[in-house]
Amino acid sequence: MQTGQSAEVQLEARDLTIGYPNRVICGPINLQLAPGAGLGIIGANGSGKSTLIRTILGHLIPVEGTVEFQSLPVNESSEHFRRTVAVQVTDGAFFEELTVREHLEMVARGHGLDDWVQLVQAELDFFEITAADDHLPGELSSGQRRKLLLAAALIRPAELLILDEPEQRLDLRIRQKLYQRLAGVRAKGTTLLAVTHDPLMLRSCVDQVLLLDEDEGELLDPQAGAQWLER
Amino acid sequence: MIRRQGRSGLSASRVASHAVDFNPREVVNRAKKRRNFSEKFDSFSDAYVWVLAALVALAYLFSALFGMLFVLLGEGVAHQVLPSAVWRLQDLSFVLLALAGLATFRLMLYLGPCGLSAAKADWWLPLPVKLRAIRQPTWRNALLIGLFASSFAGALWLIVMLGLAGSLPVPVAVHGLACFAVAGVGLANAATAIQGKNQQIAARGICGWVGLGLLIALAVLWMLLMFQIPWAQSLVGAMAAATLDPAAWMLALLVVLVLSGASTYGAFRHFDQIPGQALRFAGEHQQFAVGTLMQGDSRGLSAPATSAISRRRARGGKLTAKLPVAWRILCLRLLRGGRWHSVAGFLLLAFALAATVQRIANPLSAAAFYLVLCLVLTLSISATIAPLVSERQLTQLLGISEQRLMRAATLYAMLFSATALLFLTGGLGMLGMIQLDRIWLWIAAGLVAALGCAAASSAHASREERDWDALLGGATSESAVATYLFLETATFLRAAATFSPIFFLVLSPGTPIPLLLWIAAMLFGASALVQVSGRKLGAGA
Repeated sequence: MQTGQSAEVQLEARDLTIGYPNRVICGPINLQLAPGAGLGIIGANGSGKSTLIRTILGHLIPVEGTVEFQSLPVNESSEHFRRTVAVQVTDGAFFEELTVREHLEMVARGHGLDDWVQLVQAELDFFEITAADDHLPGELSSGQRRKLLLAAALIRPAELLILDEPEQRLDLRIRQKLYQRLAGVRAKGTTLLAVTHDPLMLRSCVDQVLLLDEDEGELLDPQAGAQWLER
Repeated sequence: MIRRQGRSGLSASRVASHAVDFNPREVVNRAKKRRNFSEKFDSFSDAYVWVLAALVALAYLFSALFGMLFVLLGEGVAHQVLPSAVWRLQDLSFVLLALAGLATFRLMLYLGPCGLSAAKADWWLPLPVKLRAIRQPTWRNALLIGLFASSFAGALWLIVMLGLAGSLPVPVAVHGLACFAVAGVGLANAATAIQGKNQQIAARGICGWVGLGLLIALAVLWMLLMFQIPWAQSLVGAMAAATLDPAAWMLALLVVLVLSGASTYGAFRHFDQIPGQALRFAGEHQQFAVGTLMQGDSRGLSAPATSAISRRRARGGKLTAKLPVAWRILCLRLLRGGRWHSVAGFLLLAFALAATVQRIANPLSAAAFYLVLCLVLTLSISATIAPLVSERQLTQLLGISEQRLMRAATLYAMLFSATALLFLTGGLGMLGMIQLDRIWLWIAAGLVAALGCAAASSAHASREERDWDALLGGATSESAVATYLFLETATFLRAAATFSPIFFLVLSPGTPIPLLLWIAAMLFGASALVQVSGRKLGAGA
């Protein structure tokens, strides 16, 4: 399958079988995402959605097949990959001594953004966590922690944005704001890959949906994907 | 809904009658009866393993403590006679007694002392039964833990006394050990009563103040001895003599028995008032402590408390504002996490011992101080740099490559180690324990040692948490456990090997250091140089 605005390939998975050495979860999957493409990944619990994300990120070795980012094998420790791929995967990745504002500042400065003061404030305002800007991660609610992770993924420039169930613990208003923003991010050429259980997200900001329901993935349009989630 | 009813085969009326018949006490009794012989045997074998482990640890600690005393007192080695060294190590044995009691009490407060594991708490606490049935076994466990912990501390104290005095009268050993055992029960009961009144946080604070008071009392006593005040000298002499006096121990045993009885009565009155929340928190602490022991890993135990980080949240914000991202993160973790405390505490302890206790100002002690600093530095630094070298998602956010982060972490480790070594060397030099006339050699040796600490810290920090359950349960458990232990030991041995030029300078100040020793030490620290140069090494490096 190929999705996106042009024929150029941002992310490509060829005959990708995912799982663990003794247990195949899903595959083979063939995938081509062009710049600006938006792919939602859906499926039942345990169908391999997060495993697929972790394999694409290079955290897991594919059982078979290959994953390439911008025509190069994925190397998550390289500077190029870290500068161009923004990720929000788990809940617990924080520096426990840094405040909310300092987390965002570190990410912005790490990516060499000169106007980081304004950008940090904009993210705090967007996710409505300005009042908690001097809180430590341990003092945040689970929803605020999720907002901080999303803000950290969105404050930085990225060519590929990978999100794992970004809708979790967010209220409907923030979700709508987030989806609008993700659509805008895509319009600027960033490829979006998101695992979700939210039909609204599929209808708002992706143009294709990968359903991991059977052994192999099935490609659906967003409407059909949303209906599958609502069934 | 209908489908579920059909599947379970229960009609609404049957469900209702079942609910009326429900007797929580019966559930508890039935659960108790289900503890069959096999489960009881498992509990017995667990206890047996812990007692056996304690005995084996005591056997090893016996040698270790004798070795430590041999080194500290510099047997057969000339020592500096310092005017500030006014007391003997044996005079401080009384302080060790107080510290042992305080440590046992703090341990009991930290562990609860009555705690329920999370799994048990989730099942038992919501049941509408009196919690006495749940609290009684936890109280019994608390008494056993107090008894064994205090007896263990007592055995260590007696070993130290044997090492210091050369011999130990049997009545002193028997009464001393009995005193520690009874005191352990008393302290566990006192902690239980405090928990029953929900005052454990206040009690922990008081423990801290008592520790501080003890330090101040020691400092005052030291000053009085410096000015040769006669009553202070006789007080210290009497206290030291009392530690080996059977009559004093008999009296202490009687006092401890009375106090222990009183605290047992207090605990009996209050233990069923311990709130469920406290039981749950204590259970979490207990699991955490056992997990740390099972992991054989101090990283979790030495992690700073969230409340402490919260208090220091503003610390270093402006000071580090201009630093590069990785360095800023490391400095904030150091300052706000208080990760310099262990190194500073050790340096203070080393200086205090060397300056105030007779015979400790000797080259053997100095070498031992460097060796312990090597271990403390490695553990302390690895805790600071761990997220930058091992947490992939966290570092992915920063957009900085793994190599660059590793380089920053290694440079930080070198700088921190070099600073700590500078303080120790300067302090020991001022006390005359080491000769600093060959200053360039000292600088070179310090740099090589800093390289070794940096290499060991990054290797330790890169190593992931070990799942000992899986390891011990695996078919190849022995070899897997041996591999892990070998890696850990090799890491620290290599770090210690980079200290060999320092040991040479301390123990043989006038002799030229063989070139081979320099080369070997450099080789052991070379991986830090490779990391600084930006090349990637494996986690085990």
